[in-house]
Amino acid sequence: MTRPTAASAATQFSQPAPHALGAPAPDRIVVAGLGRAGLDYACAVAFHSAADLVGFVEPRSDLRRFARGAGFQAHSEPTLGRWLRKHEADTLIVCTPAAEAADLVEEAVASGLAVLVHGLATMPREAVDRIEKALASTRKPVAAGSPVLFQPTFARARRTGALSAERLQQVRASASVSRVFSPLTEPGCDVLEFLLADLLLLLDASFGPIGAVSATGQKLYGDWLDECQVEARFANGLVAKIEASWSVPDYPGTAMVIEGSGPEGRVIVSDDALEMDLASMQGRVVAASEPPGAVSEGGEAPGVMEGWLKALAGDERSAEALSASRAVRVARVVESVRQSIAADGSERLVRS
Amino acid sequence: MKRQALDVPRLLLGVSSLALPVRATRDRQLEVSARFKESESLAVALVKAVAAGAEALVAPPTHEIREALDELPKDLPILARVPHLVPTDDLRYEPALLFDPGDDEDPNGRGSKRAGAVVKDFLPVGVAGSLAGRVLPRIERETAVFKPASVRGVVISAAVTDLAVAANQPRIIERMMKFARPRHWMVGFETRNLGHMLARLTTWGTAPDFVLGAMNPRGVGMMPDPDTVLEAVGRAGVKVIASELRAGGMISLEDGVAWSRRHGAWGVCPELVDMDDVPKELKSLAPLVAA
Repeated sequence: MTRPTAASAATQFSQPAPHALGAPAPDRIVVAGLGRAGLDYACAVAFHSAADLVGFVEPRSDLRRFARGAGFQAHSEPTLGRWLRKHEADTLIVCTPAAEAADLVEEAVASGLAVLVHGLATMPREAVDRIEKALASTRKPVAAGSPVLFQPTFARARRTGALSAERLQQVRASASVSRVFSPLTEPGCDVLEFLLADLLLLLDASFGPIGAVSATGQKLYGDWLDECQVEARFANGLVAKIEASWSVPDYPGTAMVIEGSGPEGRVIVSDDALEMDLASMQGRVVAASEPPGAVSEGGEAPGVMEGWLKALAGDERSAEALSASRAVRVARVVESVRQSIAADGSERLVRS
Repeated sequence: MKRQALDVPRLLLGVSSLALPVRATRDRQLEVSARFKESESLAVALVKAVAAGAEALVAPPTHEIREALDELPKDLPILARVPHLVPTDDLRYEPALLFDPGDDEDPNGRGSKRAGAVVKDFLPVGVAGSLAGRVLPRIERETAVFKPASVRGVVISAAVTDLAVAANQPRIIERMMKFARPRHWMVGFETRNLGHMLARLTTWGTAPDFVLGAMNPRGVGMMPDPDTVLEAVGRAGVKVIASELRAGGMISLEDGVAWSRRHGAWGVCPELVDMDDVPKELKSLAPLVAA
């Protein structure tokens, strides 16, 4: 099986879709999965002049009814097959639970659609393997959407090289939020899926693939992991200490921090600001001072949507932020973290 | 006594930053949240804010705010920011507006589902399945958290507004206005996409009492882009209350207020998180707002 690499993901974007060749036709987009994320994508598409929301695929009638009740006029069907028998599209955005995502991606690829998968890095092994295989078999643009990779301060830190293996030798990273106290918390979701995966995406994007992990975790409030501590060994030899907790009071929004030091000096980057004290780079940049990465706000989708449309038009940086191969790698790191926690912290190699 | 319809205020105080993530640094949010942890501290700040010139408080119907208001012997003017969606809704796969938390509440409590049920019974069948049909009972129930005498109106939260704007659905705006008129409530719409919203309102030919959205000299949060927003503000004929005045902390409140008023904002709505000395700073804004 050929695993798509970051380079191959970019290459797939460099196969221009007909609408990206200077033609004004917008990308015709179908959103599959009308949960919270799916509706966010629907709104982001609706606000964008380079995209056209042409349909929905959702097996649940209550969610189809909700979208219709909100006023969306695009045609909806319970399955992609039924939708495609009546209409045409360029792109499928998959926002369904993992159990349905693999089927949809395979069907979309077989039908010649470009595919953007939301939340791939948090999906379980079987779904990830099937999606990886399907995405590797098409020459249409494919991507994995993760809003965290469009967060402005982290994006700037990567873009400038401040957050890179060349400059930093010691790295610590943390992610905190307050969620476990909510009555909505239930088995089936934990801090690894909700929080750690996003932080790992940022670390992979900054320092490259993680080769091995050793991890511990705590179940404090129920039958799920609430906190974890990970030592990650990157393929390039860098070692990072990582912590994630969703039991931090008074943190309604997620706070992520990556700090590193090396011969050149020190870097701290968070959702709020990027602070650089390096020989070649000095200064502080706050998140609000960064140019907006989208034409709309609200929910998780606007940055990803903008990135997708820019990638279709040939922007390599956006294509790189949407790398499906990175999301697949991170899903496997999360899997290794679980195995290491279950094995009392012994090191686990990340499956390639 | 018959209640009179009110003029759209020029100076509001937003207190959403106590319950919801806002565009400020985490340290700043934690500091403000700690400062007003005690209901007495919050009550004092709110009553002084009104004395200093805030014509109404834009307040989500949270337990903390209700407790603070209950500390006071007098009613403060409230624009209820509803429906109140909480950050932890992101633990669900489904959209938060699909559910009504009133289903799980004490049926005898103030603001219980009983209040929302009243409006649901009077909704036309065609509206009951719509977004308006879903959120109106919730809006009525959540607004009932505040004392009726204090409620001057509602600010429909951006989660609903922006969904309607994206879906190109004018009916929800019209429904909200119809719902509020008999109660002599003002109806404002909060949006994170002010330029898109004003463009839609122009197309729809609909004019709510006001729209609440980001305006500041750095263009932070002005969607789709600052130029489009400013053009839309000048053209729309809808009163715009400017928020995000400090551009995420990059400029002073005075500069943000003066700039937004110069660029067509009818009024301004600083947030608690934007100020250190709430009454003093609000007082200093009065001449800028009047200018």
